[in-house]
Amino acid sequence: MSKLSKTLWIIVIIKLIIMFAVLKPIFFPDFLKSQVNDESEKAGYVREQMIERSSFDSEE
Amino acid sequence: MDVLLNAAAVDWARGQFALTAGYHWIFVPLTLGLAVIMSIMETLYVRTGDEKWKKTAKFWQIIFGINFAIGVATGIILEFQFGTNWSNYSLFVGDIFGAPLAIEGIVAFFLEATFISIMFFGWKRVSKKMHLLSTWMVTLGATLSAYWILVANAWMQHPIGMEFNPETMRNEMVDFWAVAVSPIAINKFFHTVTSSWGLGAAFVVGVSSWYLIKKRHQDFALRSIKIATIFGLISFILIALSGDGSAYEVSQKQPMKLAAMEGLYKGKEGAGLVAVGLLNPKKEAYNDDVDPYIFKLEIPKLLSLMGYRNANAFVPGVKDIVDGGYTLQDGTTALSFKEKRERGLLAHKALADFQQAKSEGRDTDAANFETIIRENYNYFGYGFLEKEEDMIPDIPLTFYMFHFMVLVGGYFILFFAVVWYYHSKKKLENFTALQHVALWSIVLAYLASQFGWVVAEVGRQPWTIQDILPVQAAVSGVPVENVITTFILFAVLFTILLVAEVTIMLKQIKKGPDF
Repeated sequence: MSKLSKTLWIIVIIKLIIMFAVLKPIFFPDFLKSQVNDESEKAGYVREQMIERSSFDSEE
Repeated sequence: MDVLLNAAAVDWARGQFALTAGYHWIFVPLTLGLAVIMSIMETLYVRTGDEKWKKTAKFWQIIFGINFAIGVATGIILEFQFGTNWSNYSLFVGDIFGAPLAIEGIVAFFLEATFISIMFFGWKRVSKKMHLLSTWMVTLGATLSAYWILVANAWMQHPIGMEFNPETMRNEMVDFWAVAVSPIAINKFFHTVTSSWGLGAAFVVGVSSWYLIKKRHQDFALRSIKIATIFGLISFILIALSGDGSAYEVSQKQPMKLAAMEGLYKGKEGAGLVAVGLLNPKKEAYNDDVDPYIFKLEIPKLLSLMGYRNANAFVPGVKDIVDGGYTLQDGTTALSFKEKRERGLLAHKALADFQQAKSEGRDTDAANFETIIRENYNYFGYGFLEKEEDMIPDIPLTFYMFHFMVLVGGYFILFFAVVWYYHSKKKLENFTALQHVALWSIVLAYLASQFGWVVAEVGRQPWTIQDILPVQAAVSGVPVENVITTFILFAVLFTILLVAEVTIMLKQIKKGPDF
């Protein structure tokens, strides 16, 4: 394998490790999952968020 | 919810997505453009048997490989952000985005990934024709990837083929083909891919010109310029044609974006296209009487012609779209912001009532509320907006990015024609000034490529999904400090990647082809 190939493979592997082993689990958790107890509650959560952010609150 | 905190979170989340998408878009167009160029060169090798074409193709393949290796998976970062910063949006569109992105991953990426290994490592292991097929398959795979991503983006600009389900809070796909072959998706694909081809061509001509400046590998440089110049000229003509198509689609589906692109506040019949113009910074409100321009040079009637295929058609301006009352292409009357907002609020009230009814087991009432939501769903997003200004994107940014992009497009048609002329007269190798222009034109190509996306995405604000979901409703309730932290992390990570790319690529270019 040429030196260039080795360098590029190292960059790819380090990049993927950083992305999937560091960034995703630590900095990019599934936000919705953290707000609800199970999958079935996600829709309800988002619905409430939409209603809360609607400008009809300011109309009342 | 704290309005100030929310506004900051929205801005940082948008900024983060823009940063990461912008970095991602440094790598992608060169992949798409170089893939075609190296495929053409390898085709010439297989057809002529000329070993110099093989060496030429191999050099550009190495450059392609550097760009591909460093750029690969940078797009996945964008998907990370969906789940964290844009969770409402993510659930809302999951049914629509899921299909194109899954197809992209399974079909396009695997096609690319499978054949790329043969392309890089199979020169001595497979036949010439098999290797050539592999190179073209890599090109096809990369291009197909682009198609499916653009299908997803096109749906954001013009949502169709779905029905909103208030129970699941998802837009559920009911017509896959409406989404997959929407006119917006098709036009966006051609415009984006041809612009990438143009960038690839500009890159090859620019780098080759550097060899001419240094009086190194001149045969290689002139061969590369020959292919890239013809390819570039064709590409930029196709860019212009597909750009015309974009203007037509935007006029029909996103009139506010068109108005922003042209700095058009008051609509008119037989509207001209602004060729060059300077916006008036004193214009602060969309409905004041301040002239939006300090000066402008217009091509008469061209905007009407491009937008509506009728030189005398009425093109609505920002004020018209906000105030409504003008006649649409289908003969109906455009609604005002107030009227759209009323319908949006009806849908939101019905959604709240639907939730209440469902929790109390009143299924008949819930079904009635669902009907009200559906009847007003086209304006669902307006129910989140407070005032008229909320529906207006950043006009100066959209205007200048659009006009710069078009100017550069015109420049490159002229550029490639001129380079082709001097190349065909065998005068290019001694025309040092043109060689330097070619080298620095690489920067222009990248800028125009980025600015095109700025037009597309800033011009659609405040919408993440046109008319359905504005950014303030799409964003998660993630603390703004978290978003700022990851913004900085990405800025550092991507800058390192970019520095690595440029360093390794420059080293390889300085080393030169194996001629």
